[in-house]
Amino acid sequence: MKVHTDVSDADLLRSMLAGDEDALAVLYRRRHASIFRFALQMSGSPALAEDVTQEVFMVLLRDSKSYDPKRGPLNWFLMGIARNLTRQRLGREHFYAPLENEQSDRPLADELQRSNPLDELSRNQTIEAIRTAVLSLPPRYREVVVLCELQELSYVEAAGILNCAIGTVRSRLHRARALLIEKLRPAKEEDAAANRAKTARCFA
Amino acid sequence: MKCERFQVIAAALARNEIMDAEERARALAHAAACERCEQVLTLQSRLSEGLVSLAQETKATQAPSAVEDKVLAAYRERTRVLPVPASPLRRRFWISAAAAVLLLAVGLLGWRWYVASMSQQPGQASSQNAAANIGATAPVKPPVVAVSPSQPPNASTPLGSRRFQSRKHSTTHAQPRLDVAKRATAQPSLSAATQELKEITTAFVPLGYGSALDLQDGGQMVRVELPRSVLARFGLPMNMNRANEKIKADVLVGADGLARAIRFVQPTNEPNSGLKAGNERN
Repeated sequence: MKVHTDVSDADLLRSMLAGDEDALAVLYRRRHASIFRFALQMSGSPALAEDVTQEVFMVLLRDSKSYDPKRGPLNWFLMGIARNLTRQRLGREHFYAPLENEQSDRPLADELQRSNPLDELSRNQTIEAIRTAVLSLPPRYREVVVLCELQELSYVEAAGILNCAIGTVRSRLHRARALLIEKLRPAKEEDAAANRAKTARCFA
Repeated sequence: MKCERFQVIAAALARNEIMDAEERARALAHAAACERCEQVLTLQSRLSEGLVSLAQETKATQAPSAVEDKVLAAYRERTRVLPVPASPLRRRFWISAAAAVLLLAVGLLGWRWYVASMSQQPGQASSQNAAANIGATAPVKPPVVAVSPSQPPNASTPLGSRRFQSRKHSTTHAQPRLDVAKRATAQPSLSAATQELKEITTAFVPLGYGSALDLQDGGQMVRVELPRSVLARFGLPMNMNRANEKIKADVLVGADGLARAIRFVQPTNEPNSGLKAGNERN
């Protein structure tokens, strides 16, 4: 295999289109993990994530001419395809996070009943609770959490992938975090907090 | 700082985003003084920690290697070079090319054969060219196939191997022209009298539907003797009193053995040379 480690994604794409299979292999190994993780964190389904990852590169093989380097790096293009495919699959197959399900909610709700749930949850439980909470977010909020928090991308990169303004990403992330805190807050605390909000205002 | 403003920047504080240092200090001071905002900041920080933990846990997650195999297999399938079936146009092109090569080879062989035959008969080249100029006034050395008793013995020399590379033909005349050809024999042993033998010939009359152009492939001129009545068949005047006599003729025979043209010959030393004028009766 030729050495492609220092080659940019765009050059790899050109080599791939010229018939260099090694270039495709390098490009795949460089980009497939973030695509797979994005689809997995958006859906919670490894099978869907596999399908989306494969389909993203199939689209690249079929329709690579639709990539415009002026609109951003190839990674944004690939993640944009992954986002569209994931949303299509989620809309078609209804991959719901089972947070509203009473049975599935019960252990998490029990943990959240405690005074400081995030303290007392074990690490694995915390991760699982957050994963479930993220999956229960509406897609437009879920994707900014996945991109900015779980994929650790900047607002600029997330805006490029989602094809929206940076301010939109920022506001959606702010709203998504508030929703996550609400979902992780125990019911008793929710009631108490609601009562406090009605009776007291804090002026500093 | 008011709580509303703190709520806005609480997430940025928890995510350790870059922000104005003075605003950051004021926000932290507010959180220290406001229990509710401090709780908000705590929840935001815990959420960030949880999200970081989730990100770290899934950081090493990758698609199974089977996905890569499928992608590469699909790439190979797409880039596989399929044999293009030969189109009728392409087939016609090759047939035409083969025919052109074949024609070229035949032409080359013919040319070499011509050069070889010319080199074998250098002395006859000029007479061949002259003989090929059919219909023109040209001295010829007619071969005699059927020898008449009146002919001198030397005149019976077989010359049937003479070939023609015909160039111009004027044998399409409706009426044959009468030409006088003074023939000097090529035989050095002939007497002066026979060397000065003169002949009167008609123009060549085409025979059948074949064109004299067929002689391009080669041919022979053969001298024959025919009954004088043959003249009438070609529309030439004939003296009925001499109908039982014979008349000499040169017949052009093509390479395929078919007679192409004929002309009638009469030596001028013969009495009553009826071919001297077309209107005279032989």
